[in-house]
Amino acid sequence: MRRYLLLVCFIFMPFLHAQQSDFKTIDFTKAENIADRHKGEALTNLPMLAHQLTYTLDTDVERFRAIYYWVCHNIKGEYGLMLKNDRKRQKLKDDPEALHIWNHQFKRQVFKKLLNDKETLCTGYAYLVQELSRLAGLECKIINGYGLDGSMKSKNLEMPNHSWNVIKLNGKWYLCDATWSSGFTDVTTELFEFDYDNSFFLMQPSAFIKTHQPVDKEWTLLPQK
Amino acid sequence: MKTLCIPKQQNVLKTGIAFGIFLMISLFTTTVNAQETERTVTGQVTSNYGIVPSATVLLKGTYIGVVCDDDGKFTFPQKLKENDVLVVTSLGFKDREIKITGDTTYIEPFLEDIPIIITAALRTKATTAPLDIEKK
Repeated sequence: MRRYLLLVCFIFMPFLHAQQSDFKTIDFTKAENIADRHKGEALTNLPMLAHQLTYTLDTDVERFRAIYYWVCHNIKGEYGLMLKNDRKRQKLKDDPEALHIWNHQFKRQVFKKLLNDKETLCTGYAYLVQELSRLAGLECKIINGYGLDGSMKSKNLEMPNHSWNVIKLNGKWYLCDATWSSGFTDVTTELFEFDYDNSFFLMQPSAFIKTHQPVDKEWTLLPQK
Repeated sequence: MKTLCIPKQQNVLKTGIAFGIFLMISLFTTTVNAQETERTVTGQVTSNYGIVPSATVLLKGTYIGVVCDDDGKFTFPQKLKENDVLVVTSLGFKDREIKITGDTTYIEPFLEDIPIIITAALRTKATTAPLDIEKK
C-alpha cells in the first residue's frame, strides 16, 4: 500500500513542483549582479547580450534568471502603445483582414520602439525573453491568452490581450510573466515605474491561472482533466 | 659496377631536389590562392519593410561581427573566405544565415518576418485619484 502511495506521489510530482521553490537551493545573487552590471545595454547586438548575461553561469535556471532580471529592469512598459493597440483591435475584431494588416504594421512599430527606446508592451517583453533565452541555448515559448489584472477583470475580454512565457528548465516547463514583473504604469500620469515583482518568476501554475488564462489550455501547466 | 652506381645516386639527388622545388612551389601557390579568396564583405540588410537598421551580423559560432548602421549597411570587420557563414539577427525577424561563396564581396541578407500577434496588457495603478478623494 505504501509503495502505491509513493507511486501516486511520483505521478503528481511534475505538476506540483513546477514552481520557483524547485530552485530554492540556488543562489541567484550572481545572476542578478551580472544583470545589474549590464544595465543600460542596447538591444542592437542581442547574441552578444545573451552571451554576456549567461556565459559565466553554471545552471540553466541561473542563466534564465539573469535574462529575466535584465529584461524586467531595463525594459519599460509603454502605455500609449497599449491603448492604441487595444482600441484598434477592439474596433477591427470582426474584420480579420483589416486586423491582419493592422497587426503587420503595428508589429514593426512595436519592434522599432523596443529597439530604439527599450519601451514596449507585453508581446515585446515576451518576445525579448524568448529571443535572449534562445540565443543562450534555452527553450522558451511565448504564450498568448487573457491577462486578468485589477481593472481588466471587469472588462469583457473577447480577444486575447496578453502574452507571457514558458521556459523549459531541467526538462520541465515553468511559467513567468516579465511584463507584470517589471513594474506598473500610473494611469493618471501614464508614466511607467520600475517595481520588480518576483512572484511572477516561475510562478506556481495554480496561482498563475488566477491572473493568466492561456488560449491553449495545455499551457496552464495544470494537470489535464 | 661503380660507374653505374654514381649516375643512379645523382638521379636520386636530382629527383629529390625537383620534388623539393615542386613542394615549395605548391605551398607557395596555395598561400597565394588563400590570400586571393580572402576578402572584405560589405552589405545591406533588408526585409519586407525595406531596409533593417541596427541588425547584428556575426560570423557563425563566434561573437566576431558588426552592428549595421541606420541604413542597414555594414562592413564586416574581419576578412572572410569561401564557406564562411554569417548569421544576421534583428529584433522581430527570423535569423538568416548567409554562406560566403565564390568571390562574393557584397551581400544583401533578406530577413523574414516572424509570425507574432501583438497583444497588450500592462499593469496599471491608479495612484493619484484615490489619494485626492481621501484628502477631501
